[in-house]
Amino acid sequence: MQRPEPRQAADGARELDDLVQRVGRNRDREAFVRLYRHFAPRVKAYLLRLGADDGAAEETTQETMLSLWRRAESFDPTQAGAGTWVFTIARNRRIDLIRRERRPEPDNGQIELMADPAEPVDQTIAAGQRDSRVRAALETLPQAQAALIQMAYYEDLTQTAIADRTGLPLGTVKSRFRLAFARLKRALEGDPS
Amino acid sequence: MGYAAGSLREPHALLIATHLSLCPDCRAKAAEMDAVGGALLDGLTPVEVAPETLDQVMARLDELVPPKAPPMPADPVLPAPLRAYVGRGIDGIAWKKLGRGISEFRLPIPNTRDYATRLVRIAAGREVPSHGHDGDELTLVLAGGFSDGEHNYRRGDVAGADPTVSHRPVADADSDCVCLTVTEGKLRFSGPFGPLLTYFRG
Repeated sequence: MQRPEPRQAADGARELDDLVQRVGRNRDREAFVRLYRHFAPRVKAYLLRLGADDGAAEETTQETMLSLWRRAESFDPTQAGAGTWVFTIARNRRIDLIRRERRPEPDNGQIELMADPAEPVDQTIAAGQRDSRVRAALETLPQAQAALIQMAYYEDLTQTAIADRTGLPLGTVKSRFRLAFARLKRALEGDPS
Repeated sequence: MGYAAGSLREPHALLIATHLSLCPDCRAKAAEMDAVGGALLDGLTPVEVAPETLDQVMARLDELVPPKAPPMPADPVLPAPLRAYVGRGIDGIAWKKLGRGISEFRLPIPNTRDYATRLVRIAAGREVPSHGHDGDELTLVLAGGFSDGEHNYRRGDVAGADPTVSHRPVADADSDCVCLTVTEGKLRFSGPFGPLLTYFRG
């Protein structure tokens, strides 16, 4: 795992956000090539980790980068940083092209009935801040918890499958996920302990 | 988390996407789970991409993309992701009557023979006969509400039942209850929802 210094990482993340916006606003090919050089090798690594063969990983990486080009206009850095946004594109293209299923997405505009409009949910921290806090929290997770999170994201495994794979009792797997999420939640609420 | 990681099968992903359309709180949590994916992607050791791939991508940038189908008209009961699968509004559904005030409509989702994905309508005040399940069952309320003896569920709420649960839901008396129900057949339901539900409720 590469672990850049936090400040550097935050500056790098902002730069990536800017590049996506340059593509979205100006169809800037130079910005796109820089995004490609950053993301394509990571997207391909992600697809290989999930078991794609080299050909499928290349093809899906190509399609992910094309989706980035086509959808850059809709990128909103207040909703998610570029890294998180590209992750969601790669995940969805994989479901679409490799698993050959559809990926239903929520309707974010549908807010009818929700309780108290005076308390907007999670507007308190900006997306960029959330991304860097999540990254920092992941880096401080105990190895046992971090390994399970990686399995869930990189090996398509459910908790039961993770229990089978690791030989851990299902209850242990569940409680490690709970601990990991509790720590993540504290980090997002700004309490680093 | 399974939804964010992309490991859920399509029927469960549909149920979660529909729930997220009705629950901003869970949407914020789903965004956190996406951020976990983004951070993990960032931390991966890059691998070599074939050098010609960049040229291929650049050559395709100007390709014309078929325009997206216009979104279906909004429906008061079916949130957009579900509306797209049903293909029509709530008033146009060809319900199949099962008797005792209960009707169902099966959603066609390819390659998911291990799952039954259905809209179920229970007439106001009627009771679903006591039943267990071969596999786990998740139910998302879309209209009206029901009680299972322990909890009352209203629009946007998700109820889960595993095979050991034998339950007897009763529709609220005020109106018909419409739910999206995903029942897992041969496969044992497991995994992603444990932490997901725990986390979302926590």
